[in-house]
Amino acid sequence: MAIQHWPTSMMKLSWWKILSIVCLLYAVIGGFLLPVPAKPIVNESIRNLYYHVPMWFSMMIMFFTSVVYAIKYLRNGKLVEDIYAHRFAQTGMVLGILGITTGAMWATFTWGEPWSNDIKQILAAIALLIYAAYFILRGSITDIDKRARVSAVYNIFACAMLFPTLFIIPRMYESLHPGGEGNPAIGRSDVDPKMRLVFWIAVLGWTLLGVWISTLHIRLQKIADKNILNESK
Amino acid sequence: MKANRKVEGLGFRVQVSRPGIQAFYLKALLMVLVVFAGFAAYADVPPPKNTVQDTTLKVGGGESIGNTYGQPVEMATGMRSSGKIYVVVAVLSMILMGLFIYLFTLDKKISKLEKEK
Repeated sequence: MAIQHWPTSMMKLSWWKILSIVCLLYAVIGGFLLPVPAKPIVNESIRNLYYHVPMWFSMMIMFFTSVVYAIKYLRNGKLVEDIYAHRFAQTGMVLGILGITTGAMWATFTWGEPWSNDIKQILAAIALLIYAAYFILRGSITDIDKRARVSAVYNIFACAMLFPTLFIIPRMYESLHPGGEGNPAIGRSDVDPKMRLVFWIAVLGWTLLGVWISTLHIRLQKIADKNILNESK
Repeated sequence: MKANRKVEGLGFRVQVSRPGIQAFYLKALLMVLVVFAGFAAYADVPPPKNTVQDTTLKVGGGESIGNTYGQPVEMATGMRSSGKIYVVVAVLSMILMGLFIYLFTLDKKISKLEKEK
Protein backbone atom coordinates (compact mmCIF):
# COMPACT_ATOMS: atom_id res chain seq x y z
CA MET A 1 0.00 0.00 0.00
CA ALA A 2 2.76 2.36 0.92
CA ILE A 3 4.83 1.53 -2.13
CA GLN A 4 2.17 2.13 -4.79
CA HIS A 5 1.68 5.71 -3.71
CA TRP A 6 5.21 6.51 -2.72
CA PRO A 7 5.75 9.65 -4.79
CA THR A 8 2.74 11.35 -3.23
CA SER A 9 2.82 9.73 0.17
CA MET A 10 6.52 10.50 0.43
CA MET A 11 5.52 14.14 0.55
CA LYS A 12 3.79 13.36 3.83
CA LEU A 13 7.18 12.74 5.40
CA SER A 14 8.31 15.29 7.97
CA TRP A 15 10.06 18.24 6.38
CA TRP A 16 13.38 17.37 7.98
CA LYS A 17 13.34 13.86 6.53
CA ILE A 18 12.78 15.32 3.08
CA LEU A 19 15.52 17.85 3.79
CA SER A 20 17.85 14.97 4.63
CA ILE A 21 17.05 13.24 1.33
CA VAL A 22 17.60 16.45 -0.65
CA CYS A 23 20.85 17.26 1.18
CA LEU A 24 22.30 13.80 0.61
CA LEU A 25 21.36 13.75 -3.06
CA TYR A 26 22.93 17.19 -3.36
CA ALA A 27 26.04 15.93 -1.58
CA VAL A 28 26.41 13.12 -4.13
CA ILE A 29 25.52 15.08 -7.27
CA GLY A 30 27.24 18.32 -6.26
CA GLY A 31 30.03 16.43 -4.57
CA PHE A 32 31.04 14.70 -7.79
CA LEU A 33 30.25 17.34 -10.37
CA LEU A 34 31.13 20.71 -8.78
CA PRO A 35 34.72 21.94 -9.10
CA VAL A 36 37.33 21.20 -6.43
CA PRO A 37 40.85 22.57 -6.03
CA ALA A 38 43.66 20.50 -7.54
CA LYS A 39 45.93 19.45 -4.70
CA PRO A 40 48.84 17.03 -4.69
CA ILE A 41 48.66 13.73 -2.75
CA VAL A 42 44.88 13.77 -2.51
CA ASN A 43 44.23 14.63 -6.19
CA GLU A 44 40.62 13.86 -7.11
CA SER A 45 40.10 11.96 -3.85
CA ILE A 46 39.75 15.36 -2.16
CA ARG A 47 36.04 14.78 -2.78
CA ASN A 48 36.12 12.24 0.02
CA LEU A 49 35.90 15.25 2.33
CA TYR A 50 32.20 15.32 1.46
CA TYR A 51 31.66 11.75 2.63
CA HIS A 52 34.33 10.81 5.17
CA VAL A 53 34.31 13.91 7.40
CA PRO A 54 30.49 14.23 7.71
CA MET A 55 30.52 10.71 9.22
CA TRP A 56 32.55 12.06 12.15
CA PHE A 57 30.53 15.23 12.49
CA SER A 58 27.23 13.39 12.57
CA MET A 59 28.71 10.77 14.91
CA MET A 60 29.64 13.50 17.40
CA ILE A 61 26.15 15.00 17.17
CA MET A 62 24.59 11.55 17.78
CA PHE A 63 26.84 10.96 20.81
CA PHE A 64 26.08 14.39 22.27
CA THR A 65 22.36 13.84 21.77
CA SER A 66 22.76 10.47 23.49
CA VAL A 67 24.42 11.99 26.55
CA VAL A 68 21.68 14.61 26.83
CA TYR A 69 19.11 11.82 27.14
CA ALA A 70 21.37 9.92 29.56
CA ILE A 71 21.44 12.96 31.84
CA LYS A 72 17.68 13.36 31.43
CA TYR A 73 17.26 9.73 32.51
CA LEU A 74 19.37 10.28 35.60
CA ARG A 75 17.29 13.34 36.47
CA ASN A 76 13.78 11.96 36.00
CA GLY A 77 14.25 8.19 35.92
CA LYS A 78 11.95 7.63 32.95
CA LEU A 79 12.95 4.51 31.00
CA VAL A 80 11.99 6.13 27.71
CA GLU A 81 14.99 8.47 28.05
CA ASP A 82 17.21 5.40 28.30
CA ILE A 83 15.82 4.13 24.99
CA TYR A 84 16.67 7.46 23.35
CA ALA A 85 20.20 7.50 24.80
CA HIS A 86 20.86 3.91 23.71
CA ARG A 87 19.58 4.30 20.16
CA PHE A 88 21.31 7.59 19.46
CA ALA A 89 24.59 6.10 20.71
CA GLN A 90 23.98 3.11 18.44
CA THR A 91 23.55 5.25 15.34
CA GLY A 92 26.60 7.26 16.37
CA MET A 93 28.60 4.05 16.62
CA VAL A 94 27.55 2.99 13.10
CA LEU A 95 28.57 6.39 11.74
CA GLY A 96 31.87 6.21 13.63
CA ILE A 97 32.68 2.76 12.22
CA LEU A 98 31.86 4.06 8.75
CA GLY A 99 34.13 7.05 9.44
CA ILE A 100 37.08 4.94 10.50
CA THR A 101 36.74 2.44 7.62
CA THR A 102 36.30 5.15 4.97
CA GLY A 103 39.31 6.89 6.55
CA ALA A 104 41.38 3.73 6.22
CA MET A 105 40.33 3.37 2.58
CA TRP A 106 41.22 6.96 1.83
CA ALA A 107 44.54 6.65 3.67
CA THR A 108 45.51 3.60 1.59
CA PHE A 109 45.61 5.79 -1.50
CA THR A 110 46.97 8.99 0.01
CA TRP A 111 49.27 8.01 2.88
CA GLY A 112 50.21 4.63 1.38
CA GLU A 113 48.73 2.34 4.02
CA PRO A 114 45.34 1.95 5.69
CA TRP A 115 46.69 2.45 9.20
CA SER A 116 49.70 4.69 9.77
CA ASN A 117 49.30 5.01 13.56
CA ASP A 118 48.43 8.64 13.04
CA ILE A 119 47.43 10.36 16.28
CA LYS A 120 43.91 10.99 15.03
CA GLN A 121 43.48 7.42 13.82
CA ILE A 122 44.56 5.97 17.16
CA LEU A 123 42.45 8.32 19.26
CA ALA A 124 39.38 7.93 17.07
CA ALA A 125 39.74 4.18 17.49
CA ILE A 126 40.03 4.63 21.27
CA ALA A 127 36.90 6.80 21.32
CA LEU A 128 35.00 4.12 19.40
CA LEU A 129 36.28 1.40 21.72
CA ILE A 130 35.06 3.38 24.73
CA TYR A 131 31.62 3.50 23.13
CA ALA A 132 31.85 -0.19 22.22
CA ALA A 133 32.24 -0.86 25.94
CA TYR A 134 29.00 1.06 26.50
CA PHE A 135 27.08 -1.54 24.49
CA ILE A 136 28.88 -4.44 26.14
CA LEU A 137 28.06 -2.95 29.55
CA ARG A 138 24.41 -2.56 28.61
CA GLY A 139 24.23 -6.08 27.29
CA SER A 140 25.69 -7.56 30.46
CA ILE A 141 23.05 -6.17 32.84
CA THR A 142 19.67 -7.87 32.83
CA ASP A 143 17.90 -5.70 35.40
CA ILE A 144 16.20 -2.97 33.38
CA ASP A 145 16.52 -0.11 35.87
CA LYS A 146 20.06 -0.97 36.82
CA ARG A 147 21.02 -1.26 33.16
CA ALA A 148 19.55 2.14 32.41
CA ARG A 149 21.25 3.80 35.37
CA VAL A 150 24.69 2.23 34.93
CA SER A 151 24.74 2.84 31.21
CA ALA A 152 23.60 6.45 31.64
CA VAL A 153 26.52 7.08 34.01
CA TYR A 154 28.93 5.33 31.65
CA ASN A 155 27.50 7.33 28.74
CA ILE A 156 28.55 10.55 30.48
CA PHE A 157 32.05 9.16 30.95
CA ALA A 158 32.23 8.04 27.30
CA CYS A 159 31.06 11.44 26.12
CA ALA A 160 33.56 13.18 28.37
CA MET A 161 36.29 11.03 26.82
CA LEU A 162 35.39 12.40 23.39
CA PHE A 163 36.94 15.73 24.40
CA PRO A 164 40.50 14.52 25.00
CA THR A 165 40.40 11.85 22.29
CA LEU A 166 38.86 13.83 19.46
CA PHE A 167 39.36 17.47 20.34
CA ILE A 168 42.33 18.07 22.66
CA ILE A 169 45.15 15.52 22.21
CA PRO A 170 45.02 15.51 18.36
CA ARG A 171 45.74 19.25 18.42
CA MET A 172 48.89 18.72 20.50
CA TYR A 173 50.71 16.45 18.06
CA GLU A 174 51.70 16.49 14.41
CA SER A 175 49.23 14.56 12.35
CA LEU A 176 48.95 13.34 8.80
CA HIS A 177 45.45 14.79 8.86
CA PRO A 178 45.15 18.34 7.61
CA GLY A 179 43.86 21.15 9.78
CA GLY A 180 45.77 20.25 12.93
CA GLU A 181 46.65 23.88 13.65
CA GLY A 182 43.08 24.97 14.20
CA ASN A 183 39.65 23.43 14.14
CA PRO A 184 39.77 20.72 11.46
CA ALA A 185 37.29 21.29 8.63
CA ILE A 186 35.69 24.22 10.47
CA GLY A 187 38.66 26.58 10.31
CA ARG A 188 38.57 29.20 7.59
CA SER A 189 41.76 28.14 5.86
CA ASP A 190 41.26 24.38 5.95
CA VAL A 191 38.49 23.81 3.50
CA ASP A 192 38.51 25.62 0.19
CA PRO A 193 35.54 28.02 -0.04
CA LYS A 194 34.41 26.11 -3.14
CA MET A 195 34.02 22.96 -1.09
CA ARG A 196 32.61 24.40 2.10
CA LEU A 197 28.98 24.56 1.02
CA VAL A 198 28.67 20.99 -0.27
CA PHE A 199 30.52 19.86 2.85
CA TRP A 200 28.10 21.52 5.28
CA ILE A 201 25.07 20.32 3.34
CA ALA A 202 26.51 16.80 3.54
CA VAL A 203 26.97 17.19 7.31
CA LEU A 204 23.38 18.34 7.68
CA GLY A 205 22.10 15.52 5.46
CA TRP A 206 23.96 12.77 7.31
CA THR A 207 23.00 14.17 10.70
CA LEU A 208 19.33 14.26 9.78
CA LEU A 209 19.57 10.74 8.33
CA GLY A 210 21.15 9.61 11.59
CA VAL A 211 18.30 11.17 13.54
CA TRP A 212 15.78 9.52 11.21
CA ILE A 213 17.31 6.05 11.67
CA SER A 214 17.58 6.59 15.44
CA THR A 215 13.94 7.62 15.75
CA LEU A 216 12.87 4.52 13.81
CA HIS A 217 14.75 2.38 16.33
CA ILE A 218 13.35 4.39 19.23
CA ARG A 219 9.75 4.09 18.03
CA LEU A 220 10.12 0.36 17.50
CA GLN A 221 11.68 -0.08 20.93
CA LYS A 222 8.87 1.94 22.50
CA ILE A 223 6.31 -0.41 20.95
CA ALA A 224 8.25 -3.47 22.08
CA ASP A 225 8.62 -2.14 25.64
CA LYS A 226 5.22 -0.52 25.97
CA ASN A 227 4.25 -2.61 29.01
CA ILE A 228 7.42 -1.70 30.89
CA LEU A 229 7.13 1.94 29.88
CA ASN A 230 3.53 2.15 31.11
CA GLU A 231 4.53 0.67 34.47
CA SER A 232 7.36 3.13 35.02
CA LYS A 233 5.16 6.17 34.44
CA MET B 1 -14.83 25.17 5.04
CA LYS B 2 -11.50 23.76 6.10
CA ALA B 3 -9.86 25.27 9.13
CA ASN B 4 -6.59 27.07 8.80
CA ARG B 5 -3.66 24.91 9.73
CA LYS B 6 -0.18 25.53 10.92
CA VAL B 7 2.48 24.04 8.68
CA GLU B 8 4.61 22.52 11.38
CA GLY B 9 8.30 22.77 11.81
CA LEU B 10 8.98 25.63 9.45
CA GLY B 11 9.03 28.04 12.34
CA PHE B 12 6.37 30.36 10.98
CA ARG B 13 2.63 30.20 10.59
CA VAL B 14 1.23 29.92 7.11
CA GLN B 15 -2.44 30.51 6.43
CA VAL B 16 -3.57 27.77 4.13
CA SER B 17 -6.92 26.87 2.73
CA ARG B 18 -5.86 23.56 1.21
CA PRO B 19 -3.25 22.24 3.61
CA GLY B 20 -1.96 19.31 1.54
CA ILE B 21 -1.26 21.30 -1.59
CA GLN B 22 0.27 24.24 0.27
CA ALA B 23 2.54 22.00 2.28
CA PHE B 24 3.63 20.33 -0.94
CA TYR B 25 4.60 23.66 -2.47
CA LEU B 26 6.46 24.70 0.65
CA LYS B 27 8.46 21.51 0.62
CA ALA B 28 9.13 21.79 -3.09
CA LEU B 29 10.28 25.39 -2.61
CA LEU B 30 12.58 24.32 0.21
CA MET B 31 14.08 21.62 -1.98
CA VAL B 32 14.71 24.02 -4.87
CA LEU B 33 16.28 26.54 -2.48
CA VAL B 34 18.60 23.96 -0.98
CA VAL B 35 19.64 22.56 -4.35
CA PHE B 36 20.34 25.88 -6.02
CA ALA B 37 21.68 27.80 -3.03
CA GLY B 38 24.96 26.02 -3.64
CA PHE B 39 25.60 27.75 -6.92
CA ALA B 40 25.94 31.10 -5.15
CA ALA B 41 29.22 29.85 -3.76
CA TYR B 42 30.70 29.62 -7.27
CA ALA B 43 29.53 33.02 -8.41
CA ASP B 44 32.98 34.61 -8.25
CA VAL B 45 35.30 31.63 -8.26
CA PRO B 46 37.35 31.18 -11.44
CA PRO B 47 37.51 27.67 -12.91
CA PRO B 48 40.18 25.54 -11.24
CA LYS B 49 43.62 25.41 -12.77
CA ASN B 50 45.46 22.16 -12.54
CA THR B 51 48.44 23.63 -10.77
CA VAL B 52 49.46 23.53 -7.17
CA GLN B 53 48.97 26.58 -5.01
CA ASP B 54 49.83 24.84 -1.77
CA THR B 55 53.60 24.65 -1.36
CA THR B 56 53.72 23.74 2.30
CA LEU B 57 53.34 19.99 2.09
CA LYS B 58 54.23 18.18 5.23
CA VAL B 59 54.63 14.58 6.20
CA GLY B 60 54.47 13.09 9.69
CA GLY B 61 57.53 14.73 11.24
CA GLY B 62 56.80 18.08 9.70
CA GLU B 63 59.61 18.03 7.10
CA SER B 64 58.70 19.31 3.70
CA ILE B 65 58.51 16.73 0.94
CA GLY B 66 59.56 19.21 -1.66
CA ASN B 67 58.29 22.22 -3.47
CA THR B 68 55.83 21.01 -6.03
CA TYR B 69 54.87 24.47 -7.19
CA GLY B 70 53.93 24.53 -10.83
CA GLN B 71 53.73 20.78 -11.22
CA PRO B 72 50.43 19.72 -12.76
CA VAL B 73 48.24 17.75 -10.37
CA GLU B 74 46.61 14.71 -11.80
CA MET B 75 42.83 14.92 -11.56
CA ALA B 76 40.19 12.63 -13.02
CA THR B 77 39.62 14.92 -15.99
CA GLY B 78 39.35 11.98 -18.38
CA MET B 79 36.40 10.60 -16.50
CA ARG B 80 34.77 14.01 -16.64
CA SER B 81 35.31 14.69 -20.34
CA SER B 82 34.14 11.22 -21.37
CA GLY B 83 30.98 11.76 -19.33
CA LYS B 84 31.50 8.52 -17.41
CA ILE B 85 31.35 10.48 -14.15
CA TYR B 86 27.61 10.82 -14.73
CA VAL B 87 27.32 7.04 -14.62
CA VAL B 88 28.91 7.04 -11.18
CA VAL B 89 26.64 9.85 -9.99
CA ALA B 90 23.57 8.07 -11.37
CA VAL B 91 24.49 4.80 -9.66
CA LEU B 92 25.15 6.49 -6.33
CA SER B 93 21.93 8.52 -6.51
CA MET B 94 20.02 5.34 -7.29
CA ILE B 95 21.53 3.55 -4.29
CA LEU B 96 20.68 6.52 -2.08
CA MET B 97 17.12 6.65 -3.39
CA GLY B 98 16.75 2.92 -2.75
CA LEU B 99 17.97 3.45 0.81
CA PHE B 100 15.52 6.31 1.32
CA ILE B 101 12.57 4.33 -0.01
CA TYR B 102 13.55 1.48 2.29
CA LEU B 103 13.69 3.82 5.29
CA PHE B 104 10.41 5.35 4.20
CA THR B 105 8.60 1.99 4.10
CA LEU B 106 10.06 1.13 7.51
CA ASP B 107 8.78 4.47 8.78
CA LYS B 108 5.31 3.66 7.42
CA LYS B 109 5.28 0.21 8.99
CA ILE B 110 6.29 1.55 12.39
CA SER B 111 3.61 4.26 12.15
CA LYS B 112 1.07 1.51 11.50
CA LEU B 113 2.28 -0.46 14.53
CA GLU B 114 2.05 2.67 16.66
CA LYS B 115 -1.57 3.16 15.64
CA GLU B 116 -2.47 -0.43 16.52
CA LYS B 117 -1.68 -0.20 20.22
